[in-house]
Amino acid sequence: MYPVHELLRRSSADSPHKEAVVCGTTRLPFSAVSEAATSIASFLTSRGIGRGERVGIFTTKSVEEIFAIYGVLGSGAAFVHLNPQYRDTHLRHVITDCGIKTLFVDSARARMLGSAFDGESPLDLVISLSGGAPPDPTVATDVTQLRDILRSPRRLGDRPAEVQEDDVASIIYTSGSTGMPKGILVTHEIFYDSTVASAEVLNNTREDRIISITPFSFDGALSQLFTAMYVGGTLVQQRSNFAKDIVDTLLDEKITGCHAVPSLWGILLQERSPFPRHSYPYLRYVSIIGEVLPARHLARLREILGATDFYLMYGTTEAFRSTYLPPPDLDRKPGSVGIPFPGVSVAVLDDNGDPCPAGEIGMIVHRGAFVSPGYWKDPERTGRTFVDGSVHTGDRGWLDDEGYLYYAGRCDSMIKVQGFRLSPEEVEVCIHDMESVAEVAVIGVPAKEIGTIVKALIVLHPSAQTSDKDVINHCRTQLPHYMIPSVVEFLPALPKTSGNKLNRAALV
Amino acid sequence: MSASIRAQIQEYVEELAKEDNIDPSINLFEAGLLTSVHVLDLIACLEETFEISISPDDLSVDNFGSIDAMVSYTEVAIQRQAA
Repeated sequence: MYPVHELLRRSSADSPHKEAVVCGTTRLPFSAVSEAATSIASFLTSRGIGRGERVGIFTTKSVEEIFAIYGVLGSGAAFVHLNPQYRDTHLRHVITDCGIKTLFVDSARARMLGSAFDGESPLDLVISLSGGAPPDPTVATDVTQLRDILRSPRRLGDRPAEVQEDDVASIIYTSGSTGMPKGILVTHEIFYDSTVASAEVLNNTREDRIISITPFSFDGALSQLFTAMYVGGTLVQQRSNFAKDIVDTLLDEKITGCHAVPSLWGILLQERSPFPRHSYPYLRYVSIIGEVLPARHLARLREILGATDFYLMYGTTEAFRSTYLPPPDLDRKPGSVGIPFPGVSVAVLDDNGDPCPAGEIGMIVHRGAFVSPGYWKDPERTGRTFVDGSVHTGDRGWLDDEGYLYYAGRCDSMIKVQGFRLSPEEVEVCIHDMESVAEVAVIGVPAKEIGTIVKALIVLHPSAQTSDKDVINHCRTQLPHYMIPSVVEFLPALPKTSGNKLNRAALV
Repeated sequence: MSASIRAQIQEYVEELAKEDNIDPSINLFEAGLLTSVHVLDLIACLEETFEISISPDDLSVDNFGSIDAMVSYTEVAIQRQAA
């Protein structure tokens, strides 16, 4: 096992001048990325930050966030990449939940820290990634500019901290079936194993130029970064999600690999997109994960990308990647998410924990490689999900008689919007904070072309005056955009079960 | 003319984003005020309101990322249409 920051250092030693990272007009060779990471690691070490600590990163897509990810890993600490769409509630939750004292932040998001903590910030040290105005002085006692860290001379003998394979390298926050996002522990060994396995499955080489659209708060995006740096390829950071801008990057940068959630393919296929009018001779493969890609989208994509291999995948952050459908099986196994990754086995179990016969739906269980040690500070939930080294995913699915997996939705009420998963409770708790709201239920409802939208059903206190716009504005200050209800409906009452609990089944 | 274009775009974006007093210079998408699923509504509204036609090749963040960008784009498109 080598930690992924060591894999970067090796690629830099092999090919220091090869292009490693592109973002807008910035192009950096491996040596520059590796040196920046080493400077950050030395700086953190000099501040006493290392093994057993967690360092936050909160920014839009940039080259600097890549320096920070590798720099934190090199210090021996764990990085926590906060979803750049987070607003006050989630920002506060994640920073306090995992005890972040040190945060890398861009200038647009530094301003948010003041309102999230209202003078009660738990941060000691803030490192400004993009220069600009320093954040509110109440946010941290110590504010440093990244450019000063990168400029300071390296000391002789600076070496990365020693890390063990089961040391925590990162905590990835993802919405659970109840309440606020949960931290999932990821070890150095999991990053290494998944990087090597992904490169093997996707046949990645140093010739690959991989576009990165998804934020690094998602495991799929990290996998692309680590794989690109491991094989000595190039990672191209994509900031704009406009169809025309993505098409320009695919063509101008001669992108060979693209990984995206189905809703992004939806954007590229919408009627106003220039995507179908071009051809993409360099695009060797696309991989799709996160929710079900409508069959008509897949068919259309294959028409446009005639020479490109399609990898449909299934996985959860608790176990990184579970399955992939080898491209030659695409026509033979329509709708399948394929066979297990190297080192993984997948079972489908019934309610008694016994394997389901072929064709019968049960819970998908992942065993073998990539299994997280558990949730951050939540032994009860860890015990339920992680059973004897396997992950009980909470997803439903079935296996065919050749062992190919088919995904069949969630076991619980979780909603997927634009590829993000969220629990209704997260949104309900937020709306409940409004004084006029007596009861609230949140559901996902199907919407044309864009998959699922969030709908809030609300019972107001008698004589309360609250409009749908009031509810949406309240959510906007507290929640990331994909959780904000698109539709708000006011009802006299909500359906209840015999135990007087909300009857979710009756809402849809 | 221009003031009215700006006022109409500002009002429409605020309606779409369900937020008041939006800074016309900020990137609406990076700030999380609009998402890519809003883009089609936005384009259709600009075309209808100002009687312009918007090419798919113009659908970039440079042209539609902020209220200021949309105003400039629309002004140029109106002139082009009139020419």
